[in-house]
Amino acid sequence: MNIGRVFRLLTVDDSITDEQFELLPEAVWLNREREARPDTHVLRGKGTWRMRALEVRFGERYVPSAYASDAQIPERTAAENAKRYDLAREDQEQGLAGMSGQAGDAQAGVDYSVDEPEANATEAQGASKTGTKGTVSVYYGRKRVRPYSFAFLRERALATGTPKNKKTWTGALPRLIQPDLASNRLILERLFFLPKNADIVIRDFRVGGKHTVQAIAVFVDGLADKMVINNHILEPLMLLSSLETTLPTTGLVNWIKDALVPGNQVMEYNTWKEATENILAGSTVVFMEGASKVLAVETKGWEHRTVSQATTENVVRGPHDAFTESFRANTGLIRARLRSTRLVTEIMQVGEIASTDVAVMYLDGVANPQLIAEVKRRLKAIKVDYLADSGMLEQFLEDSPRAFLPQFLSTERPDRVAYGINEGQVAIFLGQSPFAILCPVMFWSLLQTSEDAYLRWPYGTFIRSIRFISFLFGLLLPGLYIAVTNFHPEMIPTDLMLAIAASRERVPFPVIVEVLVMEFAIELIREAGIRIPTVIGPTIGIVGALILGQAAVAAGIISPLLIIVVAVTALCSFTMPNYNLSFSIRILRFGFIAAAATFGFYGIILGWMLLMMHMVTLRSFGVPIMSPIAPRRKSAPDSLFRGPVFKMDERPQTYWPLRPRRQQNVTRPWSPTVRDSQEAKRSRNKGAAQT
Amino acid sequence: MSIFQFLLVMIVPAMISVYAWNFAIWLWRSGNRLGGVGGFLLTLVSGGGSLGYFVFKLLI
Amino acid sequence: MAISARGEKVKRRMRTDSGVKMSEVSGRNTGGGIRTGHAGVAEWTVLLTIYMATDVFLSYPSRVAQEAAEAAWMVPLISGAIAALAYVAIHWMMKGHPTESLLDIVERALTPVGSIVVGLIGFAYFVLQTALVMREFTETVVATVLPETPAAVVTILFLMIVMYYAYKGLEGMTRVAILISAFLVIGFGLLLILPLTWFHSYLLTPILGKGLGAVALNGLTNTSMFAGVFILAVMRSSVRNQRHTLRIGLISTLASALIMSVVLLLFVGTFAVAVTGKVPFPMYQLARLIYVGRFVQRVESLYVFIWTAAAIMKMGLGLWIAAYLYARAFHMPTMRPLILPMGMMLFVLSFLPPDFTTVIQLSGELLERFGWAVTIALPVIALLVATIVASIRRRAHGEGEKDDPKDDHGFTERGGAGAQ
Repeated sequence: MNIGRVFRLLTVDDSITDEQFELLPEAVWLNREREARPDTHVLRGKGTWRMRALEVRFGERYVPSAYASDAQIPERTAAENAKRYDLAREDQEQGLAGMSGQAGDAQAGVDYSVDEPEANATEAQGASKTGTKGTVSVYYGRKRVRPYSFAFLRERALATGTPKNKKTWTGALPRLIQPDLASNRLILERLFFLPKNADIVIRDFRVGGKHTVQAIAVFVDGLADKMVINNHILEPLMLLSSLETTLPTTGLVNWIKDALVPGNQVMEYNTWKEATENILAGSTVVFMEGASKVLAVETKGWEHRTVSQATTENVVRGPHDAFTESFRANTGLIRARLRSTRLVTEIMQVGEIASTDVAVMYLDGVANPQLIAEVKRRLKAIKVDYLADSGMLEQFLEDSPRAFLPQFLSTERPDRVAYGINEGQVAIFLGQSPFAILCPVMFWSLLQTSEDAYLRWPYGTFIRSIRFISFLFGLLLPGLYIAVTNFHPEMIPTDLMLAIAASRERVPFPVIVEVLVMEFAIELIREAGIRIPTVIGPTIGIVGALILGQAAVAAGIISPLLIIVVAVTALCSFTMPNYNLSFSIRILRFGFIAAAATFGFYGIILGWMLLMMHMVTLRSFGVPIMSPIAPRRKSAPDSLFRGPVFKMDERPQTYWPLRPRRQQNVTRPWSPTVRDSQEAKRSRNKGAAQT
Repeated sequence: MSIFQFLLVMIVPAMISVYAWNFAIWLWRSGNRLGGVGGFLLTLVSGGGSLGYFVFKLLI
Repeated sequence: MAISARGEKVKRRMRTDSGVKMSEVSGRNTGGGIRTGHAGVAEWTVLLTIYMATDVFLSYPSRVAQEAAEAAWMVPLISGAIAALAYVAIHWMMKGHPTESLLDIVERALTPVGSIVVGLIGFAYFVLQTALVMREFTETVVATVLPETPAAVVTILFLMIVMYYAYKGLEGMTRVAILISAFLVIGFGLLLILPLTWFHSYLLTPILGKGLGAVALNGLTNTSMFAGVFILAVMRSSVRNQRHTLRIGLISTLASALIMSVVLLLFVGTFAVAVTGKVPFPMYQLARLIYVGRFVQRVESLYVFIWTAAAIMKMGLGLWIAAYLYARAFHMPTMRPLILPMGMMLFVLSFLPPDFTTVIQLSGELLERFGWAVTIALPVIALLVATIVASIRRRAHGEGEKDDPKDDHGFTERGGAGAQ
C-alpha cells in the first residue's frame, strides 16, 4: 500500500455530495430536475417540459406512451416530428461511422441511397440525405430533396468507370454500401478476411431473364438455414425472375423486395455495419449491381436446444417450460404469455467487437418511464468487446457492486418474467443466455417462487414462511450454536447441556474448528455435485453422507449434534429459490460464524444490525430492496406472506408504475360475502352508469 | 505503554484528524468560509482532544 | 437536488400536483442544503419511540425508583405529558412554516449567529449524551455477557456500527427501526410478561410514594428523556406527510412514556423499592428472574439482542443528529465527513469518566437532571423568540410584506406564488 493511496483516502472531494439513482414518481423527480437545472428547462406546458427533462436527464428522446392517457402530451406538428427523427437518424449514423475502426471518408461525399422520395411527409425514415446535383426539388418536411430514378442511378454508377481499375479498397473502408458489385465484393473480402474465413459463403448469381442484374448472396454457413436460402432466395431470384421481361420502373431494390423475395422478414440497409451485423446474425444479405442498398432476408436457422424443463426453479404446480439459448424464442415465450399490444420489446446491441443482442421488455403505460430510460441508459453505457451472458450484464448494471445481496431477479421461468413485467418491472434478455433478468427487484421476491401465487393463499403463505424461517436459520444457526456453546452455556437447560457435553467429550477441537470443517465439507459436496459428470453423480451422495457424516462422528472428530446443525443449515440454504441469494446467505453465514466465535451473542447482534442497515439502504435500480416493508409503501399483501388473490388489487407502489391498480376492487361479485358490501354496490353502480 | 504501542494507538486518531482537516480545507476552498471555520473547529476539538487524551494517558 | 458546494440553498419553487404529496413534490430542502432524505410517519414514530424508550435499559429506572419510591411509575407519565405539551406548543409555533425546520426559523429571525448557537448547544448535548449512553451500554455488555472482554474493544465495536448507522443516515435508520420493531415488541413483551410470577402489587403501596410534591418535581426534571421533541423540531421537514407531524410527536412521546411507566411499575412491584436503587441494570435483573418450567430459564443472555439493537438505534440517531446539527449550523453541504471525527470524539468522551459509578452519577445528576433545558426548553424558547422577533420585524417593514429582506433563501415563496 503506498502512501499516496492512503492520503487519497483521507481527502474529501466533490463526490461526497453525490447521490445514488433513486426511482421516484414522475412529479417528484421532474421537480428535482427543474430545481437542479433551472436554466435548461423552459416551462411550456407539462408534456413538452417533461420530455425535455427526460432528454436532459437520460440523453434520449422519449416517445410518449400511446396508452398513458394521463400523460397529456401535446401533439407535435409534422415538421417537428420530421426534425426530431432526422436528428435521431443523424445521431445513429454518426455512431455507426467507425466501421472497422476507420472513418469512411472515401465515399463520404457521394450518396446514392435515395431511390425515390416518399410523398408522405410524416414518415421520415425513408429519406435521409439530399444529393448535390439535380433538377427537380421536392419539399419533404422542411428539407429539400431531389428524386432520382433507378435508370439515372444506374447510369451514373456505370459512368464512374470500372471500379476495379479505380479502387482496390486497400485504404479506409467506406461506411456505406457501394453502388457497384465489384467494390462491394472487395470490401466483403476485406471485412471477412475471405479466402481464409471458410464459413462465410458468397454465392454469385444473376437476377432476371432478359435484362439480367448481377447479384451476390452472403451468409454464414451454420447460422443460416440452407433450405430457406435455396427455396426462398435463390430459386425465386434466379428462376422465377426470368419470367419477367421488362425492366422494373420502381427501382431494382424495391422490385426485388416487393415482388421476388418471398422471405417473411426482408429489410433494406445501406450501411456496412448493418449489413455485417445481419450476416453475422444468420440473415442472408443480397447485394445487387447498381444498387447502394442491400436486402437482408431473415434466414436464421442455427442449432439450439428446444424449450425444455426448468433446471433450477422447479415447481409442482404451474408451467414447466424454461428459457433456452435462443434469443427470439425467449422473447417469444413472453409474447405468447403476455398477449398485449402494450408489450414493447426494444432490441439493441452491446459489444464493440462482437455484438450481442439485448432486449428490453416492458409494458408501456405500466412500467415507469424513468425506469425504462435508466435501464437503457445503463445498457448503452456498457462498452465491452464481448458480453457473454446475462450474469455479466447484471454486474455491469447493478447499483452497488460491493453489495452482498443480488440486485436483480435472474430467472429461467417465462411465467415469472411475464408476471414481473405485468407488475411494472423491466425484463432484460441477453443473446444466447437462458436466464432473463428482471429489475428492479424487492428482497422479498427473491424469497418467492411462482408457485406461491399459483397455490391457494394459505398454502402459499405456509411455504413462504417456511422459506423465510430457513433464510434466518441458514444465516444464523451455526453462529448461534457456537455462541451458545462457547459463550453462554448457562442458557441451555441443564439436561441438554449435559447431552452436548457428552457428545463433545471425545472431540479434540474447539467448536469453531468443528463448524468450519463441516461447513467446508458441505461446500465441497455442493461444488462437487455440480461439477461431477452425471454418470457418477450418485456416488457423491454416498461419499458425502457416509464418509463425512458417519465416519467423522465414529472417528470422534465431529460431534453428532454438530452434524445435525450443519445439515439443517445446508438444507436451509438450499431451499432458497434464487441461486444468487443462496450464495449470499452462505457467504454471510461465515461472517456470522466469525462474529459468534469472537464475541458471542454480542457479535451476532452487531453483525445482524450491520446486515439490516446494509439491506435497508441497498437499492435495485433506485428502488429500496426491502420495500414495501422498510420503507413502507403501498402494496398488495405479497411480501412476507401471500394474501388472497382477490386482495391483490395494487401493483407494488415502490416501482411507481403508471397504472397503480391491476384488478378491480371487487373481483368476486357473485360471492355472498362480498355481494352486499358497499364496495361491490359502488362498483356495480359505476358499471351501470357506464353502460 | 511502550513507545511502539503508543504510535500504534495514535495512527487512527491521526488519520481521522487529517481527514477532518482535509474536509475543512475542501469547504474553505469551495468558498464556504463558515463551513470551513466549523470544520477547523471540529478538527481542533475532536482531533486535538483525542490526540491530547492519548498523550495524556501515556504520560500518566 | 440543488446543493452547491458552498452549501447555498438554490432558489426553489413549490408546486402541488394532484395525488402526490407536496413535501415530496418540492424535493424540498431539509435544512442548509444537507440532503437527509424523507421518512414516513410510521417510520419516524417507531424510530423516536425506540430512541426515547431505550433509557429503560439503563440506569434511569433505578434512579427514578430511588427518587420517587413507590410512585415511580407516575414520573414518566408526568414528564411525557409535559414533553407532549411542549411539542404541541412547538408544533403550533411552527405551523406557519411547514417547510422549515427549527434552525431555519431561528436563522431567519436571529441571523446565522442564532442558529449556530442553538445548533452547537444541541450538538454538545447529543454528543455528551451519546457518549454517556455508549459507556453505560458498554459496561452493561461487559458486566452481563462478555465479562472478560476489555471495555475498549466492546466500545470500538459499538462505535463502528454506530458510525455506519450515522453514515447511512436518517432514511436507513428509520427503515431499520421499522424492521426491528416487531422483534423488539415481541421480545420486550415477553421480558415483561414472563417474570410476572414475582410481581406483588402490595409493593406498590403507598401509591404516592414520597408524596405528590416529590413525584411532580421528579416528573418535571426528568423530561430530558424525551429528546424526540427536539429532534422532531429540527427534522420536521423530512417527514414525508407534513399533515401528521403532530401525530408523530405525540404518539412517540406518549408511547415511550407508557413503556417506561410499565417497566417501572413491574420493576418496583417485583423488587421492593429498597432494592431497586441499588440494582444497576434493572431490566437485566428482571430477565434473570425468568423461570418458566425447567426448559425456559436463564434466558437473560438472549436479551442482549434487544438491548444492543435498541442501543445501536439510539446511539446512531444521537450521533447522526449531532453531526446534522453541527453541519447545519455551519452551513456545510454534507454531514458525512463529520461522522468519523465525531465518532472518535465519542470514544474519548465515553472513556473520560474513570469508572461506572461516575458515569451513572454524571448522567443522573447532570444530563438527566438539566437536560430538559436543551431538549424541551431550548426549542420552545428559541421558537418563541424567533416568532416575536419576526413579528416585530414584520411590523417594522409594514404589514403586506411577506419576505424578510435578509432572507435570501427563497423559502417564503410557498404555494408557487411569485415563483420564477
